[in-house]
Amino acid sequence: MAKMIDPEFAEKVAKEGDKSLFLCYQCGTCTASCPSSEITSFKTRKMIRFAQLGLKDDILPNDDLWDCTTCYTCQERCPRGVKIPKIILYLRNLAAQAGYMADAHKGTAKNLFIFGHAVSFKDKHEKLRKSLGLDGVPHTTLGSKKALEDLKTIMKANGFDSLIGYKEEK
Amino acid sequence: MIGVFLCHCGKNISTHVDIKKLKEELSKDPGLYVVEDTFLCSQAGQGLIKDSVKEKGLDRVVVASCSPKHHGDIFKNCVGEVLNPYMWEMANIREQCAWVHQNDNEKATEKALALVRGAIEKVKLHEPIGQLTVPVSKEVLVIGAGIAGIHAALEMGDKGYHVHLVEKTPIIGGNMVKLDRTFPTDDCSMCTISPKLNEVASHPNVIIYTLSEVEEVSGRPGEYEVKIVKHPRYVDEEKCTGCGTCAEKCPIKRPNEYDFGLSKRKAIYIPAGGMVPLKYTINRDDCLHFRTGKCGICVDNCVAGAIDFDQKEKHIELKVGAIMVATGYDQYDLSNTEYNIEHPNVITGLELERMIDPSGPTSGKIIRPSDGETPKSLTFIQCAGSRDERRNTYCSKICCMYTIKNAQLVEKEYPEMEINLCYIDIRTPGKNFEEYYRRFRSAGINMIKGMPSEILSGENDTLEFDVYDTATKKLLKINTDLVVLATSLVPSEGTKKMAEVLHLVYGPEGFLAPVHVKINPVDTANRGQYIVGTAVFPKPIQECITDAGAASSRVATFLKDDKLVLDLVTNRIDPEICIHCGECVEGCNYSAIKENEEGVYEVLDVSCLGCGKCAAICPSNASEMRFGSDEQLKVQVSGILSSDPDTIIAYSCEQCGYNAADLAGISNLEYSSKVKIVKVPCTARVSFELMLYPFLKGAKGVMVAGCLEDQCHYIDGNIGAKERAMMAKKILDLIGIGGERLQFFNMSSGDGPKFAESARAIAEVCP
Repeated sequence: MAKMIDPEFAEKVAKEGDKSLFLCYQCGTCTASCPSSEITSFKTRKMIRFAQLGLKDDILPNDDLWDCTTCYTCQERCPRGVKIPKIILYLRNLAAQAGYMADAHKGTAKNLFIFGHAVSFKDKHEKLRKSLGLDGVPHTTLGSKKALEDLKTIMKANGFDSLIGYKEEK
Repeated sequence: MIGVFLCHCGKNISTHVDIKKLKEELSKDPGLYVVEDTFLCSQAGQGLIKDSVKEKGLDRVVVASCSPKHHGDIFKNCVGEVLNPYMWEMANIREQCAWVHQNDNEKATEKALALVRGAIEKVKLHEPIGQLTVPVSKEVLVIGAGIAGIHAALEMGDKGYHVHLVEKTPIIGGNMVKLDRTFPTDDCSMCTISPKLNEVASHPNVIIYTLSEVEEVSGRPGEYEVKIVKHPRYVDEEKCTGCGTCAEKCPIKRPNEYDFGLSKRKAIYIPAGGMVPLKYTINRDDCLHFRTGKCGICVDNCVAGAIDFDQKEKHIELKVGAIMVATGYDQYDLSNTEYNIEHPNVITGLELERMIDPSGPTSGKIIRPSDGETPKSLTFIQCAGSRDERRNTYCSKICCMYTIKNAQLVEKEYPEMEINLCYIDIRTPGKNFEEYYRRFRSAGINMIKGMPSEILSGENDTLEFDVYDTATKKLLKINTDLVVLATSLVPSEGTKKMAEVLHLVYGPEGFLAPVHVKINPVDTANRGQYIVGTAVFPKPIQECITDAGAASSRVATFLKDDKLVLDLVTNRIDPEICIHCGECVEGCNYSAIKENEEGVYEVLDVSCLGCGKCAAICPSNASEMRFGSDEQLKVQVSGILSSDPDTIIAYSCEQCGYNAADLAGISNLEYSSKVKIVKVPCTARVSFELMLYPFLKGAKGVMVAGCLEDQCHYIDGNIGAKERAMMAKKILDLIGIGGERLQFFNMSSGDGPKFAESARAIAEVCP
């Protein structure tokens, strides 16, 4: 079925994402340099083209969007100076707001509620730290219940918990 | 006594401007002699002006009629028969009054009266303008002996001018002699250029200086003094017969730069066969004699006795009337980039040209430089360094066509070879170009619409890379034996050097800039200096030829008489007031201000184009225009304002703003009659003082209308003027008048609607 282009969406991406969006002349250097494109169905050039045309429905529910590793090789090679990762990250924000965040990203985000960090903290980490003569638990949210609670309060106040579908276990 | 001549223009003016009332009002001034006529531009009308001048003893004339852009020259010449042609001023009451305010005759008449009064005040201060006559030399200097320079030298030589053709390398022919065949005809490059090489070498009016460089140019247009250094060849050009025995016997072998190292040359050499002049050259750094003092094999074997180790650098001084710069391009240096140019099997388009040339280093065979084997696959990569924000943002123009040519030539010779071509867009505008491309598409080349990311070294000296074909949306893995890069064209070292030596204007990429890209494509800002070929921008051979022909015509026009006669509508610097700050010298785009022997700044009238920039930027007001001086413009402004204080002064540049206003008039694009135009040569002329002066006299506002940015006819006049306007706005804000009452507008000369819109916009905020 023919698709309607949505210039308003495209302009929004250019304005809020990066204004270099429309400079892309579709040479494909980004896709050719992308380590993810090689093994996933994510194609950088295609995503930028969707954005130029404002094809919102091809972007937001698209799982490919979450396959970018933000390694920035595309930006380094882009002959037009398009800030590709910045645009991809902005598109992800829109997708997340529309309820399309990838499970893996939700999982990582949940760590913030459990540990106060994007990465987990386990017994083996504690052992390793002690063997180096460090305190077992670092003096961050991990070592301070209050700091972790404060962080949770901030995240909840911003609706981050519902965005990532996190429910605190009682 | 001033004569004021009011024109009805048939009914064009008189329908909307009450000429009777104008006459009545103006006649109240006993210093004016006011006359009206139906058509002042007619023979009868002109006769009326001339007779009145003689009979009434008028010493100045104001013509109130159409735009000076329309009939200005007619009236100037008419007045010039009886008075100095500059003792005259024109008030544009047709385009700027009758036509643009045709819905309000009262306002049109009121504005016409104000414009005429402004013109009267201005003409009162006019002084006779003299003429400058300077002799010119009929000799022409052509710098660079590539195809453009050679063609220019031949054109000028054939016209009977004496030409000095200066070439940096030992041979003439530039890059074109390195090419195999040329698009869109596939004829052999040498076959087309060779007759020209010989013709120019034997032309009675052309002297060729090889191994020579232009070091210094001084003097003035029409009589430039040029210093040339001729590097030693160590071979007497008069004696050498080009037999080649010396090179045969010379023991030193070096990679031949001409063939990009694909062949070897000796320390004494000619880069390739069929070269002009057929004279050998010793490379001092390679020669055993110069390195050890021992070898003399070439001397022993030269029957003509042409070897001369004692040859010294020669300094040559010339006097020429005009200069043509044809210093060409180089290939962009892609070292240390993702293109892997360091790999022996990654070559440039020019290197491939040498390979496929049947008389070239490989006798026309395509080889992998790493092992000399025939490649099984070859991949062309376009836009290497072009259209790239990190390198050269422009399109190099010729690469699509020469790659198409090379790809199909290779395909014809090697039908088995797998040929890929990676591209972003294929661009083929040009006569017979698209037809050529269409034929090429049937040749069976793998066209990949996508660019590789990084060319990596693979096994067995192959190259491998990923490329995403945007047409099939497939990520392809390419492994190829030979990569040919369509390397970006950049200005040559010689082009950059000449920009410095001649003080030529150049663009951000270093290519020489014409005065106007469309209207004056081969003229430079420096009178008497012209630019041709790829020193201006990458272009195919046919356009280099066109350039050379065009510039030759321009030079011939410039030097057609034994002298140049110019009206002195130039600038002058008052040494009594000058504080010697050097702002004007720095600011002048035409090298027209020089320091004389007494250390005083002087305007070189023959170089001055009268834009008025120096007068506007001079901090001590020492710099003044002979015509359109500060005082003249100020009295014109106050003349207008004393007649009608409800006025916005619109300084409009003669090149764009004024023309746009005329067009607004012709198209009846009505705007407020408050807006009254004062013509200036360039917005560069509008000094800070001139921007603020109208407010002193009660003006409601000031607008400045200049050319589009980057399209100023005096290079950058509108840029500085805009900066001054920004500053003036701040001052107006500070003193409570309001910065919005001064506005700068950029517009093209064809944009009448933009002028009308701008005039309406400023009228809106200047009640």
